[in-house]
Amino acid sequence: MLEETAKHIFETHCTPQQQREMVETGSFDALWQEWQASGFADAMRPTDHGGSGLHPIDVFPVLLQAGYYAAPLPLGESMMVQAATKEPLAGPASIAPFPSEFVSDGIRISSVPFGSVCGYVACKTDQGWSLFSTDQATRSSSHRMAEHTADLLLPPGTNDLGLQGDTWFETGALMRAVAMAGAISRLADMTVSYAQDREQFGQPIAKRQAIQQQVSYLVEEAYAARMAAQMGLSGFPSVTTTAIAKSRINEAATRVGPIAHAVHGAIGITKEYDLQLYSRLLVDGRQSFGSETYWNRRLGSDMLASGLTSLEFVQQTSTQKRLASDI
Amino acid sequence: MLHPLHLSSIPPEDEAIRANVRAFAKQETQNLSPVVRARSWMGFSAEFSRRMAEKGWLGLSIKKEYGGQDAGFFRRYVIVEELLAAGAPVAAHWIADRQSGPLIQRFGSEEQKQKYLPGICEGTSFFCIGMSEPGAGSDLASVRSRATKVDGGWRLNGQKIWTTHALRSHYMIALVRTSGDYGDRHKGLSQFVIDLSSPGITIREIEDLNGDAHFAEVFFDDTFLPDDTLIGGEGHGWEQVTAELAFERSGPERILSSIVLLDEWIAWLRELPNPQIETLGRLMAHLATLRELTISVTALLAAGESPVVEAALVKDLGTTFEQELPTLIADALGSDPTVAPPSSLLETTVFLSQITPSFSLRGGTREILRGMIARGVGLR
Repeated sequence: MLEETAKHIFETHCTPQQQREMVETGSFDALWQEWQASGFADAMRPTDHGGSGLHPIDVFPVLLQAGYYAAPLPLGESMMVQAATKEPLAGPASIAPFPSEFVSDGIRISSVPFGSVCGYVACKTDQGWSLFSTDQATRSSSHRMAEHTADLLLPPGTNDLGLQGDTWFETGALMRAVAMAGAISRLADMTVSYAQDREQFGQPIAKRQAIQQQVSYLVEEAYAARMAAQMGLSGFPSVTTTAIAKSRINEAATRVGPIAHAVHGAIGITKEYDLQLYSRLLVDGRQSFGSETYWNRRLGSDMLASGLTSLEFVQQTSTQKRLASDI
Repeated sequence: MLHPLHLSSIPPEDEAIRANVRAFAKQETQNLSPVVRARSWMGFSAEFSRRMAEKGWLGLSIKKEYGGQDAGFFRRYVIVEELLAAGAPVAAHWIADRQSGPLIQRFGSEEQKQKYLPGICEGTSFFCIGMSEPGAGSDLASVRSRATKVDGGWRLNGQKIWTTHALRSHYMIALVRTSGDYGDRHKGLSQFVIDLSSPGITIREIEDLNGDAHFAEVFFDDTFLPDDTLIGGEGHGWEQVTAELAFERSGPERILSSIVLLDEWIAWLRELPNPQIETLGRLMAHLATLRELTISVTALLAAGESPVVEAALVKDLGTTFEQELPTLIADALGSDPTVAPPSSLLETTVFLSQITPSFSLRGGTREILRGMIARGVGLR
């Protein structure tokens, strides 16, 4: 049911056409309001604070769909921040991947995903993690990034709204990874249907074994990415399962994007064709919150320190997982 | 349409036996060198298989009335996983336990079940698979071995090849032609349980590139097969083989074939001042994800589904991991020529590096599996 509701929201408020309009006009309110109205924004807030008290794994289908439709807002991040602040937020909240800097003209936060559209930003300061409103922020978006990344400059005296916990970098990585798994699924679907439609040499290119073998591999990677996403959410707040998810999904992204583009040919690299909405998300996502090398290092060093065998290590990770509630 | 693979878990009652199996596997393998344990499911020990049966760890999906445990897919999953991680010599009972027993239980007559299943569950009846022939590898439907109807049974002539542990097995379940001809493809094929001590059977072992002889070629020269050795319906061989392959492709053995090397390497890394943690981390991310995928496919099997394409998909991902693992470890071991790794670790790495090409051949080649996935998503 959650999945259907999420799909409906994105089908009606986040079509490729609407995405382009949102970016052009800078107005993302309609999608955000629909999201708020659906109750998803409150899904993980504790029940005694008016939320639904769900665990991240419960909303896997929703977060996956957000990536599948390349929602141009930090929807997962906002759910996680609201779960921590226990208060409804007036706008979407991003998580900053890099520590903030106090400078003479305020607080500088670089390369914030969705920095050009967020209403709040969670970032690391000298005192730990803070949450700031970005109402007064100066935003400079120097790249054409699918994540709407921007550098933020908050004016001096911007209030810290307070944010508990010290694993927000990991939470940010997990939310990006799950969205990437959704985008990977979208690329898989688009590539299969393009191969069925596109004719060359008098028949659909899907009939060619060279295409079949590549697309099958793409589908396999999509299965691996979705499973890694489920593991990451299921083990939350375990850093180990987050590391598994971000590492594996990053790697899948490096394989899936090139195959999707190769099968589509030249049309796939045009602005007009929709493939780029999803393939660019993978390029951005892989770079946000640690590349696969970063996460592999953490995972490898945790593994060595554990003293366990390989099977014991993954099995211990697995037995701590939590399955989705029946909603 | 493919099933989505949902995160699933091993039921607690099956998880509960893990510690016992682990202790048993450790004890059974304590005197085996890493390179011997790295034989994984090629390592053969009839004594070991009988001790497994004494523990009640064989015939897990076989009903109690035939001597089985009636415990289902996940019990076997836990047992297999622990045995493979330890590098226990599981080959003697492996095929019978994994697919021949379930096949006989599903398609066999009452008499056949009573005749074959108790021996499988006791670890005294070993089976091999008679599928491949010199002219029928990936193109299995082109088998030419032919059984001709005679009074009271069939006469079989032909040849099988790449038959794992044929020389040490008591029975072969063979796919042969009982009617029609080469061009009839899937029609006219049947399966027989062949007693390998019957007259007219010659078995020749084939040495592999490592010097091991696990597979063999098997020749049938007017071999008489009594009527009651035909399993399932005459002409239903293809459907039965397809069902059998789903069991064959879905287990943890498709991700754990190189696990002994991984653990030997990890033990060595723990002694190094600057271990290659990035490579290790990558392998762990893959292993953890693959394991959840196999658990998810097992959950579908346990729910009575037939996840044939999903199993193929996970097998391809799994064997890719098993093949990459020795390649990456060999690179890591050679990355600092001033430090000599233990010779047993080098030997195990070389052994696995040489044998890994077989991992994506056995049980359906990578290219065949990807063809199945392509069909599953509607490309062909």
